[in-house]
Order: sequence, then C-alpha cells, then structure tokens
Amino acid sequence: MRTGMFWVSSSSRLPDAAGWMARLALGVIFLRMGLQKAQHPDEFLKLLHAYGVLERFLPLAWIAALLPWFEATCGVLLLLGWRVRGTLPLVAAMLGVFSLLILQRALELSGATGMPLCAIRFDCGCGNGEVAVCRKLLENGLLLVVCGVGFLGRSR
Amino acid sequence: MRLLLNEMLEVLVVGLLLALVANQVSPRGLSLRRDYFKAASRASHGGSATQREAPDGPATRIPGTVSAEEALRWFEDPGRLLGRVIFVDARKESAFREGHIPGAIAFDRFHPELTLPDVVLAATHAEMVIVYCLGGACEDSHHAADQLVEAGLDRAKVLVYAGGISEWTRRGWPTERGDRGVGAPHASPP
Repeated sequence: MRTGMFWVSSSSRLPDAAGWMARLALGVIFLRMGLQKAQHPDEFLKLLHAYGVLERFLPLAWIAALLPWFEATCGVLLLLGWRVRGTLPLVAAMLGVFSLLILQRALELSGATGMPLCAIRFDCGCGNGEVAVCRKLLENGLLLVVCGVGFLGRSR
Repeated sequence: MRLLLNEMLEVLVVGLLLALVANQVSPRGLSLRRDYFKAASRASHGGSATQREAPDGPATRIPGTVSAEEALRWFEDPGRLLGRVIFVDARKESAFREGHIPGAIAFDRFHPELTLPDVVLAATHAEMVIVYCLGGACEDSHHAADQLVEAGLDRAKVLVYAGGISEWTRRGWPTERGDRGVGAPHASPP
C-alpha cells in the first residue's frame, strides 16, 4: 500500500510504542522551538534575512511572524495526537527546507572564510542560538527519521 | 493519499489561522505589511546617501555614516546637551537598559509605533541625528535611520554610527545604564 511518500505494508508497520514516542518527542521539540522563536520574532526575522534566500518566495515578515506559531501549533497537535498523519509531513517539510538553507549558508561561509564545513558555527534561527553546522544537520536528519517513524507507526 | 493531503491542508489552514491570531495578539508580533529591510533592498538598487562633516572634522569617507572619532566629536559637541545633536539607539530595549550612549533615545525599529513619535519629536528640533546599534554586522541602525527619514526627517541630518555601541565601549567612552538621562553613568573599561 502506498501512503504519501512512504511505501508501507501492514506487516512492516512500526509498533505503536515507537510511533507514540516519536510524535511525543517531535511535539515537545516543535512546541519548544516555536515558542522560543515566537518570543523574539524580530530576532528570528533578522536571522532569516541573513540567509538571503527566503525573501524571493515570501515576505520575510510573514515567515518570521507566522512560522514560530505554526511550529508551536504542530507541536501541540503532535502532543495531543490530533491530525498526526497530516502534521508529520509538514513538520518534515519544515525540517527539510531549513536543513537545505543551513547547508547552503554554511557552504557560503565555508567558501568565504576557508574554514572546514564542520568548523562553521552560526545562529541558524532554530531557537537554540549559535550552533555547529554539522551537529545541527545531523540533529535535523535524526528528526526526519523520527518523523518517518511517527508516520509509519500506528499511534495517531 | 487524498485523505492525507486533506489532513495536511487542514493542519496548514488551521495552523496558519492560529498563527495569524497569535501574531496579532502578541505584543511582540510583527506587522505583515511592513518591509523591515527596505533600506537594504534600496541600497542594492543603487540608493543614494548623504555625506556630512563632523564638527571640525574631515568629510566622512563612507556616505551617511560617521566614524568613532566623529561620533565622539558630536557627543562632545555642546549642542548635544541642548538637544541639537541626538543619538538614537536602535537596539532592543533590554540591550539599551544594559548600557547606551548617555542621553541616547531608544528606538525599536520593529515596533516603531511605541517610540517613533518621541524620537521624531526630539529629532525634529535637532540639527544632527546619529543612529547606532551593536556595530559589526548589525544593520538595525541603517534600517532605523531609513525609517526616521521616511517619518519625515531630513535625510541630510540623519547619520549612522556603524561602529556602534561595541566600538564605543571598547574605546572606554562613557555609557549610561537604565533609562535615558536618568540611568547610572558608567565608564566602560578601555
């Protein structure tokens, strides 16, 4: 059976517990990250501006004003177990887009400074201040895996 | 597949509606209609700036900005105490309270409705308005200066001190903590 981006057979479905833990973990993380950014949307706006890419697609003020609250809403939905199947692909999309942006900016900085990619640190606007790029990308990769686990799991 | 897309659309619509309401209600919410980086986009399209001289000093090398020495000369100008020279601090309020150039007026460019009237009132009577932020990569002073000009100030009298408060304190020049004019004077370590 094909559901969304995943091929799932009834026998390959992950146990309920894994899906349950995945959605709770993602829920806590997204609620926390969203609320942190929502407290300082002006700072988030400046960090988004530093990417120099997003304004080509949407006004930056919209993204800075709405994305933190949208993330927090996704977090609440995941914690409550409502519309989990619809929320997880959106969460994964946000993670994917921001991972690409972080990578692109890190490559630019690496090229400009001559520093190795994994030595680059900057505030990616992820809600945790300045971070090491490679670690952040690894974290996001793990969160994408957790999204997959939550999606494949039965917990909804 | 269709069910999944419907559910995603539902989450998207509900999430965005809630986000709109939350942003509207939040005292820190942003205006969705404002371009907060207008100065940058104009500069990239060849916008012009003004060149001014500090008292007894050479012409500024970078148009529209003053160097640290020039900023200090304006600070020491007797006209500052009479309100003819004013400094505008474009950082957020918490940073302003931690230390600002003595007598500077706080201006939060992200929430101009709170402080713009006070700044414009003071700046209208001034002959020189020097805007600063943290310095370094901070662009807030440039954008704040642009907002002041948009609010009706003469572009020729609005200058940016690009070195900002970082450079000012690094040189050991005086700062003030707390509110404007009533904050505790503080000598920065050189």
